Amino acid sequence: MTADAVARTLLEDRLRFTGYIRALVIDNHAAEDIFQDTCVKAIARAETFETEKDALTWSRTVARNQSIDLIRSRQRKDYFLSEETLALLAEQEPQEAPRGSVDQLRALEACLKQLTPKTREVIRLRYGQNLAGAEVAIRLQRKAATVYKTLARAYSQLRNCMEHRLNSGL
Amino acid sequence: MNLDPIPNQDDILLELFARYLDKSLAPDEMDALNWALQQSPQTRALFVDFCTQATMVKETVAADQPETASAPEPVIFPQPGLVSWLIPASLICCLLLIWTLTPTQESTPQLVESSQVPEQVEMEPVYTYSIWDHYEGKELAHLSPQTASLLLIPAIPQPGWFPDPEQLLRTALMEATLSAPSPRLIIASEYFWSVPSDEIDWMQLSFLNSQPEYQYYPPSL
Repeated sequence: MTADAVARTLLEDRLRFTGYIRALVIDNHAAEDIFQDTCVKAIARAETFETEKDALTWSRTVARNQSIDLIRSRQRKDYFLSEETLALLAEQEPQEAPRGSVDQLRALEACLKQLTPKTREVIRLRYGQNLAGAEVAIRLQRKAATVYKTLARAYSQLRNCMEHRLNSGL
Repeated sequence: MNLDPIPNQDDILLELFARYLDKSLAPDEMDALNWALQQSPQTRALFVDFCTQATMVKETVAADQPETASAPEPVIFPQPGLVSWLIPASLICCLLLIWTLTPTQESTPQLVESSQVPEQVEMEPVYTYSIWDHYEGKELAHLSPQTASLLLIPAIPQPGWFPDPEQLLRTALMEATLSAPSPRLIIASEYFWSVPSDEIDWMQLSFLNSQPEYQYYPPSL
């Protein structure tokens, strides 16, 4: 593959890729750093990849191992997933082809507007202002459990909405 | 009587995932999460998808509200002879790279054992600056021939963003031009896929093509 082709492949898979890394390291910044570092390494050896799948598989392995190194270097090792779980997650084949992050973000933007005002407020505080669930609960005078339930339901609603929009080409 | 519906298994898992990302699981709950993830590929797929969506929501929501408590004030980059720029906190990023190495001739890629790091590719230092760096208040460093590499790329331009992506590109390239005689720069940008070509000010961008030492992605630029 050419460097251009590898770059494009990884960028198209960026959201899923960083989501996967974030699942491991629980840190947005670290996930972005690992993704960028992985891109650089993959592009540097682009000629060794024959297919997009080769590039993605190799890159996921690099990212997974960097994540493990990062986890090992941290103090609260007990909080992270076990290495057995990490290995199983790494073997997990994506169930869908990458859709392109631009399309996904556009769909998500539209779907967020369809949530109730209360749910949007929880999301704004949790993700926009990066407050912990307990802090969101205090801010909104609700129970923390209610905040987590709201986030869980929002996930399902957004997923259904995005699938609908992406599949129908909206 | 107002009874809450009995939550199904997915609801319980999703709440567990939300709390995991919040780093608020107790040790026994962490054990439970590990156990659950080891039981079925479907649960693992749901977990990764949940984390992916959380990442997307964060990007989207953050782009809607640049003035948040967690986001620092916009960083100003005073450059003698250059315009000072504000990097907008609302940009959805994808920032890439530059490298100064010729791709090495190596063998066919191979998967490695789970705990082994793949062979390290010898690279010269690469400097990157992402929107997350901006949120943390880090300033954009001056580029150099050895470490040149930079890119701030928004995925979806939106009204009110300042400066616009083209301005960012120009600033990055001016930096690279001034600080390095012939840095090799690769720019990868979702922006160029998201905007119809007739909406890009190609006249303003045309100077990019006059500098052949840079490499752009997509190459059609």
